[in-house]
Amino acid sequence: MQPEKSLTDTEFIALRDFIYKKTGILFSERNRYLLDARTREILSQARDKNAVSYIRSLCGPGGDPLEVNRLINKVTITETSFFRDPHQIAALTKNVIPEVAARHEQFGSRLLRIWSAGSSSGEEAYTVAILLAEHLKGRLSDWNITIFATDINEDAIEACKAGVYKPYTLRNVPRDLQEKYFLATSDGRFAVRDEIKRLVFAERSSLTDPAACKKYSGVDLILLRNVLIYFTTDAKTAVLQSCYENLRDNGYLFLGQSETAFGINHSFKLVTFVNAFAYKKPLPR
Amino acid sequence: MSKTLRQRIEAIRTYLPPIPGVFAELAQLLHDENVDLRVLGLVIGKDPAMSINVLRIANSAFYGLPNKVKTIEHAVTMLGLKEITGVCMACAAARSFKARTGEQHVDLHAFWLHSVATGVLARTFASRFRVQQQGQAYLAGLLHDIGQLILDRFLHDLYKQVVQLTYDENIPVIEAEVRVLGESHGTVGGWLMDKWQLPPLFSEVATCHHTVSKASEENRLIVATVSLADQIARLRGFGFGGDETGVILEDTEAFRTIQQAQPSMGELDIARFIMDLDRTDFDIASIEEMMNAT
Ligand SMILES: C[S@@+](CC[C@H](N)C(=O)[O-])C[C@H]1O[C@@H](n2cnc3c(N)ncnc32)[C@H](O)[C@@H]1O
Repeated sequence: MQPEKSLTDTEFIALRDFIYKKTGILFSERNRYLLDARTREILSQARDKNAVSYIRSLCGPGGDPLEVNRLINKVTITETSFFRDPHQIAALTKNVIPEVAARHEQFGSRLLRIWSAGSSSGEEAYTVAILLAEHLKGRLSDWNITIFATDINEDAIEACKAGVYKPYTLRNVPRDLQEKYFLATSDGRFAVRDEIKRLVFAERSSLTDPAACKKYSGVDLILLRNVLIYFTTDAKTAVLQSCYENLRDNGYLFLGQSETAFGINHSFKLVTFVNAFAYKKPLPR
Repeated sequence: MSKTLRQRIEAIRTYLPPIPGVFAELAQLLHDENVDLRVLGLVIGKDPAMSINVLRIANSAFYGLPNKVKTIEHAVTMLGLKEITGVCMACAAARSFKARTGEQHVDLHAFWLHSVATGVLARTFASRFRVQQQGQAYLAGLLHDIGQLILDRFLHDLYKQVVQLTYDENIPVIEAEVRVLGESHGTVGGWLMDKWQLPPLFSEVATCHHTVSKASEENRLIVATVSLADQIARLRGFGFGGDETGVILEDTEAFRTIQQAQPSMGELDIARFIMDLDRTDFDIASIEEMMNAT
């Protein structure tokens, strides 16, 4: 096979800046090869196969929003799975969900809002829905629960709405929960059962748009896991600020298991669980 | 009249039962009359029970030393092979104190691992926080929870209720202890250490590791260091009992005390700091491996 041509410096910079503006994701020089690999197919189909003019066409008046989506879908890393990171799942199960639910019980409000930000294809949102169902047992129907699942990647959001998954992404789901909350389809996949599915509300939305983020306010829990990795410090700062504003007092934010908010946001309190961390919005003093 | 809890603890005369793995290793070493005392010290220093037994004799009135013996190495060289062998034989008898099977009791292996982990972390932290009594940090960490072993072994019927409670309600062990016993394992450990005339540093660490502000000014930093090591050991997965609650470390007395002594702690990324303790995990794991091999 012909080795295809890789991005020139000018092309790399044009693509990098465009993607950064749209997503907050910055492909550094170190990750240039990633951007290269992920855009190769798209560029080979572009009219003059040149990234600079390709981007100019996207930005121009005749720019096709679907094509922009196609590019974004290519360059975002959507790797995810159900029950990802067992230590965080344990912290949610044993501490965070019981605490949040008890707080609502205490005040007699059973209206619970949760945000899976950068949800990819929805495994994370449905995982939380399952954990909630397990915690609330038969009382699930007494509660008004909304789990927002948002992502910039249109394909991922469509997959989330469909709620049907290949077995591999269910690999960490305990057997009994799999039987309880999934239905096997005739083509060997697994559909999330309706009682779980209706708790999740999926839509395409960008985290770098603060106005759009406002929609997910008044939440008790935000999962922003493995999303900020390629964001610049500025973009991270803005997103964490949105999260802070959207959380209710004593609400929790989870980042990916090896990410920290240190040096980016000082308003949160770091809570250390067993091999897991969360950021808590303290009560105003 | 029934004895108070304190009287019952102070009446304990027998040695504390060693961890079987350490005991087996020791017994083997003691077969060789030319055994290197330093090696003996290292092995004893892996077990909280053997360590406290040895410190107890070294600091007993019988030896009447003007200064307290504060390290295992010192105790071992002072006592010599014959005396150590005597302790071990007496311990073989103490070993028969076993919890009845099928009952909820302190998981000995987990207890032991937590003690070693706390010791190793305390040693790491003490050098990082420039604690004056650095040389005692490991041992102080190793011994900080000895009260739990004492309670589990000598007041088992009461203590099994405590252990059960931590599992049932996912609450810190100390909360369960106060509910059931009215006292904490820290206080209990301190009582016996004082009775056995151990250096005050160790009993202060045991007594105050959950109430750092009550420690004397002189020892407060080492108490805080062990207290932090204790919590981080649990949060790194070297815990025991059912407590899996989360902690805002920066708001703990331990952290604040250390921060007062070391203002640069304010700039510490605690999450990263804890994630980066892999190296210490490795030390702990290698001690555990040695143990499983015997
Ligand atoms: C690696 S996935 C993480 C999925 C899930 N949170 C998890 O941890 O398993 C990262 C997701 O973040 C999304 N993402 C990246 N930048 C985004 C932005 N600016 N707004 C919304 N989502 C974004 C990507 O599309 C991708 O689906």
